[in-house]
Amino acid sequence: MQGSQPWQFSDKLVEVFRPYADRVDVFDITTNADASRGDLSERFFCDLLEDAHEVCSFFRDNSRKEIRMNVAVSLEYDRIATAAAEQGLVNKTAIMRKDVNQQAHAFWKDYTSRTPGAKLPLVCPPQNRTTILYSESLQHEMFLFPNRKPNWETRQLFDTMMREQKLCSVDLERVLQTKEWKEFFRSMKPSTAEDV
Amino acid sequence: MLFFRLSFCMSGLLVIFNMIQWNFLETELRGYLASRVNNATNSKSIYELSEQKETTIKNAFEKGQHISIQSSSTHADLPGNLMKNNMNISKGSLQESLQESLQESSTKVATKASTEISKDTQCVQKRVSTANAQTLQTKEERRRRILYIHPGPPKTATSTIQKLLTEHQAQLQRDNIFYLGKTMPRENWNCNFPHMSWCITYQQYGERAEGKNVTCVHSMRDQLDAYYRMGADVIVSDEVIGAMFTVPEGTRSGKHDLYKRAKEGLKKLFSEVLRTNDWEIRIMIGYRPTKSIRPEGSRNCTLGRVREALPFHPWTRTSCKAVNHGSFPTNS
Repeated sequence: MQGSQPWQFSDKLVEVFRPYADRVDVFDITTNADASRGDLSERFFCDLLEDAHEVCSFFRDNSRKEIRMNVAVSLEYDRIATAAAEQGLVNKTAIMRKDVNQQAHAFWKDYTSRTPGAKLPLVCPPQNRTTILYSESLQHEMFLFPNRKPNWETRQLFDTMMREQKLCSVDLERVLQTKEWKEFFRSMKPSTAEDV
Repeated sequence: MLFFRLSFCMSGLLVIFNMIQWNFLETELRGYLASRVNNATNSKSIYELSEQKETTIKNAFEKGQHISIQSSSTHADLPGNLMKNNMNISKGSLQESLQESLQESSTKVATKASTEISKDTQCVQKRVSTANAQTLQTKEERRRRILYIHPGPPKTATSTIQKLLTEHQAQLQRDNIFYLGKTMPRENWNCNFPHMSWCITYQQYGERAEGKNVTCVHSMRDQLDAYYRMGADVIVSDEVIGAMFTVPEGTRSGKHDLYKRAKEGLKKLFSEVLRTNDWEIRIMIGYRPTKSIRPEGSRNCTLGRVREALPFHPWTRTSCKAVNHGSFPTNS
């Protein structure tokens, strides 16, 4: 099928489905800074579905912890693992990728607890790229939500993300040159027989 | 003289070659039509495809055009493949062959299709009537039934929403809203409601039918019709629907133009299935700011649930390079 195809974003879906539909509703899955948008489940069942009285009341009345499926996980350790394998630092026939990933994660957690301030080196997009990214995001958002206040919500969320270096990735080349990571890969335990 | 002899021999060889090839094609065609009937669980779609095939072939004959049937049956329904001008075939034998096969398939179709329709409708009727739905009559008087389609896109909490819809089915059903499940049918609670986009593609092109339920368009139409007649609202949620129907222009898979297919498939889905009743069709599209789609958001490219169990060596990180900002110069 088209599993390997890149998927399209919401604006494209709106464009494709709109001619066929009686109505198109776009819903933002994120919670905004002042939480005025409410949580996703309440918004979905109360605002989007008509006459879903019972389930809507349930979500309005119960302050429950929101369910999250497929919660984002860091890919950084997996990237380190595969980069190490490509450089021949890992015996790929003796150890499984997920085990390298897990051991790398555990190693770094332990290392940072013993070495305060230790951080993985990052590679980040330059400012001209992030400026383009912001402007495209804003344009996208204004198309879908024309009533939003761009300088308030969109800018604020973007700035927070930049501060938190959310668009950066681990600099694999630098990581694999450090003596602690080299040592880690040398000392790694092979996968157990039942795993392989 | 020698030239004339050689030409005569060549012509003879060509006639013999054509005869052999036609016999092969005729066998292929018979086998193809028979296999379509045998492999399918609902022959109605086959009947439609066969009618299309028959018309195409007959028209070609009337015009004296040349026809080729591919030895691989998978794409033989496409007129473009039928109409390759690369050989002459015998009109009488092909028509005879077609008529025979079509008669056979029509008989099987009628029997199987009626069974399928009845089973689908019954299942939906049972589901709705046992759901303790309360507002059928009131809703019927008040407004049109609503068909909600949630086509994604991926990474916009689709799994969370699908989980919530599944978990809160009973509450939804008491308000007369029925969730039709996700992806290919895995459980019976949704009456095995077919996958909208896969189904329409298979039906439309008659491809990849082996192992797939080619009855799905009829099943989908019948089930939706039953929900509609019983006064229910329904929800379909699957991000693959959005992904399949919005492939970018120029996307191809082998020789197939996926963009063209998506456009045709979507049109067909609405005209032949969803608009056969007076549904109010609402599309619900999730949105996650582009700026927050980060490498973590694409973990499926490296850490898919199935792939986690695989050994190390089949893995590469190539598929994830695009999201790793690998081309960005170091800035920190």
